[in-house]
Amino acid sequence: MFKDTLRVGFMLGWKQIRHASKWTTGLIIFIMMLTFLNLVAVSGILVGLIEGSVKTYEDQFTGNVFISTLTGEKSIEQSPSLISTLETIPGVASYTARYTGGVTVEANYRERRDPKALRDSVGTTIVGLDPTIEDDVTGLSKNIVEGEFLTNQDGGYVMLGANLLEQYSPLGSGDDVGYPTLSNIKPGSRVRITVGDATKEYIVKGILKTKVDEISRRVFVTKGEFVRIAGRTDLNLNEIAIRAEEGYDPALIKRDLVESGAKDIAVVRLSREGLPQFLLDMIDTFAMLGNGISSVGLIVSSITIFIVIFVNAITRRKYIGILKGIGVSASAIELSYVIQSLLYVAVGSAIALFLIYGVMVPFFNAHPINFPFSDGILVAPLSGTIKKLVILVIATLLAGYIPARMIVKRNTLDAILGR
Amino acid sequence: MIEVKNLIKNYGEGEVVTRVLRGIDLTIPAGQFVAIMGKSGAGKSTLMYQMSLLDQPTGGSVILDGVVTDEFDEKERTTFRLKKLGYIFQDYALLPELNAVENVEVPLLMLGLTNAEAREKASKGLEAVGLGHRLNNRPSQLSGGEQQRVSIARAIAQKPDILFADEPTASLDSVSSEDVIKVMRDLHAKGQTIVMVTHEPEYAAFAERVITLEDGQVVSDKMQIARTVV
Repeated sequence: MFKDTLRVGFMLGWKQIRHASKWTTGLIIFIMMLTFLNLVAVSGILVGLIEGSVKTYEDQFTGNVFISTLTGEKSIEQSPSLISTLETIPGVASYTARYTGGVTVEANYRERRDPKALRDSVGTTIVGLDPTIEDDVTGLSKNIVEGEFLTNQDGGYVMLGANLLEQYSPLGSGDDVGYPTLSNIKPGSRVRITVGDATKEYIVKGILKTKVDEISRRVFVTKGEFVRIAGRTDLNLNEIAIRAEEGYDPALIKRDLVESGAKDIAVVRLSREGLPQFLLDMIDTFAMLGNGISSVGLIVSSITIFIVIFVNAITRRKYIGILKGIGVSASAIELSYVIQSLLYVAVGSAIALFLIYGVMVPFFNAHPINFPFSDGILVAPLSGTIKKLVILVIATLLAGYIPARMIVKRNTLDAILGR
Repeated sequence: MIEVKNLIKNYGEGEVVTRVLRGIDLTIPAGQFVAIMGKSGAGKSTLMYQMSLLDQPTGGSVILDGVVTDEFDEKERTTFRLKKLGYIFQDYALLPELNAVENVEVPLLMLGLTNAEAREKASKGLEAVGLGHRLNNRPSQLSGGEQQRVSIARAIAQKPDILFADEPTASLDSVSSEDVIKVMRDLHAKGQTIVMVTHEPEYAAFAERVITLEDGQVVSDKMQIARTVV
């Protein structure tokens, strides 16, 4: 009997769909598509705001695994040995090693007539790196907004992070808030860098502007220049950003590093582990916000389906009565309406899934949304999307079943006679 | 066989109760062709609805083929109608989105026949009422008489014990009405029990028994020699 109910329900539902108004069916499917897009995309973009920031941080600064100096230490002890170990660890695609130190950068000192006037200077971090390797790992050269990226032959040149400069910093001159910036700096300008007692003049080769503040507030020189100005002769590094091979779990690289004893001389962490807790909380908060907003859409679409099925069922009340009269079970009739709802949600969701994974995700990955603090992407993990699909299907089926049940439950004879 | 005992049907409640059937007793043996007649409002259709389990009587009892149906719930009534009863409605009551053969197939599929069996049986049923060439036409593509014959084919497809017809010729012209009556006459000739509500004496003449109602009561119950020639 159950099988027969299914068979007749499917037949009646399918026939009704086939002979329904194509415009109405198209409109309902369009609403379902928008609902599913709303469910996935709103929270996906909100989460993507932060995820975009996290991804940029990982891509441009930390790599997949980041090794840094232990708290209280000036540098990573036995760095050459650590590098040797790193070379043997499987899954490492590339890495970039950096020296860092505190510096003062001064600009416009040649134009300063009054020796008592405030100097145009900022305190920041200087990074010594191999420009070619760094660019291979982090692609930093893509973020040059003025001038050129450093080369290994660029002794006497420096790259400046844009947030150190008045014309790029969101704080302007920064004097009011205690974060001063340098003014009138462009490629070719000269700046004076002081490390401890050592001071040297550099020519600005390029200006780097990224949404990672750690980069945009640093100055960059070649390793050779760093060693010269900082007087570092021990070859001990401060940061190593490691990129894992495509598809290789970075956690395995971290595990191998930890097991090799790296944690005794440095901090080894996955890029995400270095994120501030508030950022991780923001991801959860935005996901909740997105779900909240999306649920409004879910309710609206459920009501739409409810109304459509209810109107459909009530205008077909006589036929429902006839079906019952000739012995078709109430379940089969209800099923025929549920089948219609199922079609709406199936086709609408299929189109939405294509749009999400075939169009939107690739598009936003290639063209991130330019938010002030991040390059927003669309985050739509398949598991989350499937959960939302299940919710939408259940909501739609209920929205189809309930009105059908309400009409089918009415007295058979009243339905036939239209009373 | 149909047994009706002290059948009462009231509509409304309290002071505005309308007594449509006022204690009817009837017995219709298997194989009989019965016409129920009466003026408008006499209760003839209401009587048929109670006997055919489309409605629940206020009081009394309906016993069909020895089965007391008074305590049936909605599901049991539907199943009983599917297995034992056939209906011909005044306005054909075909499903507009199904073609002729699909309309006839629906109850057969509910009975558990395979798709192929249902299709074959439905096609044969339509051929039997002279519509073998109209299997794939939808109701809107059929004349009134053809639609009513599809309705008859659907009603008899599962070989019901009792066939109920509610003014089957009321919406038809005289030629189509005669076609429908011919089909019913042939069915009766093969032993089908038929209960037909009609207000047209010329078609009631084809029944072997005529029950006349007035104000919800049987005022006449006569056997007659059924007319056989249309």
